[in-house]
Amino acid sequence: MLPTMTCWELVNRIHSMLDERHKDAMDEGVITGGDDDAVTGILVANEPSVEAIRFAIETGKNCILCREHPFYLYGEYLSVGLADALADDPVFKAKRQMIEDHHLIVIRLAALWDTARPKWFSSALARELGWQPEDGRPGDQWTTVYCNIPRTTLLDLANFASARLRAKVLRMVGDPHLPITRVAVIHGFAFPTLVLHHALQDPAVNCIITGNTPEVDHCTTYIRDTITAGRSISLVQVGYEKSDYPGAVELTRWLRSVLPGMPIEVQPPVAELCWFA
Amino acid sequence: MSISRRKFGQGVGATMLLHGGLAHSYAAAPAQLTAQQVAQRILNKVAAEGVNFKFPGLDTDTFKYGDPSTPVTGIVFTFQATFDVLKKTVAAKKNFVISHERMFWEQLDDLRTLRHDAPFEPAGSLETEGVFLAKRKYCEENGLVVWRFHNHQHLLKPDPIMATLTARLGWQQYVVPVQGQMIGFAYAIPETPLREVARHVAQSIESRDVRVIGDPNLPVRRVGIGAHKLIEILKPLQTNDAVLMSEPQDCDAFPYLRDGIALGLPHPKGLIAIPHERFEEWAEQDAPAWLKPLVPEVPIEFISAGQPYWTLPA
Repeated sequence: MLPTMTCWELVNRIHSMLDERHKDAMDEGVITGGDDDAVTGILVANEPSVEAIRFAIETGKNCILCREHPFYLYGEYLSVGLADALADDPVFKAKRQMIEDHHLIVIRLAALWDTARPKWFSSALARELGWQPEDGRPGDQWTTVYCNIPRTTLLDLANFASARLRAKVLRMVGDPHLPITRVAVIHGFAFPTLVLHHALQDPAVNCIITGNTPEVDHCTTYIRDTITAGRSISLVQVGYEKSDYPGAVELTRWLRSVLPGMPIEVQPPVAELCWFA
Repeated sequence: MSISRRKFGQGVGATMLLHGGLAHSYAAAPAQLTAQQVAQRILNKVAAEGVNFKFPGLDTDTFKYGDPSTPVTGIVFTFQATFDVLKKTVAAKKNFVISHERMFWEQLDDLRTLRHDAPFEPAGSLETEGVFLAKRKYCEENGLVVWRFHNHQHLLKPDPIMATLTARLGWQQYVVPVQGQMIGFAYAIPETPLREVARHVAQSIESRDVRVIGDPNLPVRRVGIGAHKLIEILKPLQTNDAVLMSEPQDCDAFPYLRDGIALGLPHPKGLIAIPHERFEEWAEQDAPAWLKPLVPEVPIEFISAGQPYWTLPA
């Protein structure tokens, strides 16, 4: 059993074990709680939602390790001005009160995972889909992983991914009958367009599977234009949460290995938020 | 001497040509009207309606490709100048595309990326990207000119994007004004369960890609409207039963809704997320009729950019 670990010691240990230190991205790092707060248990939850907070409280965890921001400040692309706009918002205030009442520590480390182990979350998604991701080249910092898969069609691949991930709200771009043999897997929010462009540098890739992309500006239109330009390519969006959950499971396993004795749990899978009209 | 009506008509025609009719017809010849002139006529009309767009550095409405002095053979209105729309424009023997959205996948059709989070940005540029070059080459080979009509179009009174969407929904009688929101109206509709409201929206905009958040049985009496980011729909979410939102990003607005619903607060309650193209393209469909009185000299048509996604059968 470890002696009590403070928040600062936890963050320091994670950085040390990953051998990666950098300045936090916008709105990342220790979001709530203090450096000297004792960590009694960790819940890994990509989205530090009210549901996740309730689960942490019920299971005696006072620290949530997450990819997203508890108060919706995703990052520079989407969140400029949002903190001020939320100042008097009832949802923000109720959630903040809940966190304060239970003295919860919320630590957001998305950029750290993607910098120290860029293939981690995408590889986890690929494995969840039953595929074997290829090892990246040394120094490859892209989060994209590549998999050769048994020949199928885009429609059949979408049906397969839907069943495998228990996701119903999938959206696709491309010919449903397009033969698929090689997939680029990109977890989460695939942005900006350069990320998709990079995936297409592999000429054999005929499908990109990801969580979500911007639609009109950037990525989805880029794929549509690429198809018109003559490339046999397609895009499958499985949903942001669904694409990141396998990574949270593997991250939890890793944390248990580097923090023996610390109670660590991953949030159980949450129900898909959306449904089609 | 008697003269037939036919010969009389021919003589009248000849007289018109000889007495300046020919000069008049040369001045109105389609080949003389340039893309710049068309754009200027549009901007003049917008200004005449009292719209004065002053956002230095943020004006989207510029020429995105081609020489503005190019004579116009025909005009295409579209939601977005995708590569497919460009090809259909050429097939339709037109050369001037007026696009509501951007042409090259980045803010203001510039290829910059973010600033604060730049160290975490992927390195590289799209300026030598294959599809980018192919699209530009296609425009060059076919003499295409592309102009973006976005900010000024939204500032028309009424905003044609909102007006045509409202008409598609058949909700003109339900429009109520709101203050202090990005889009200054909402819909006060007869109480309807959320699932029925969403189904009506999907059928009206002819799309299966309509994602919904909220209890399907939620009674909806008031529908707000907003676009793209949580900060832009926050006030509608705080004051309506459901909000019609154009192209949200999952990681932005959705977590807020998940939390609000989990907390059981009065708001937010529901979201109906529709594709951006389905939200806004209806105005471009009507735009040729709007432009024709201003530009009678050349043919004008609408070409759809099409829906981006397809979904699995229910």
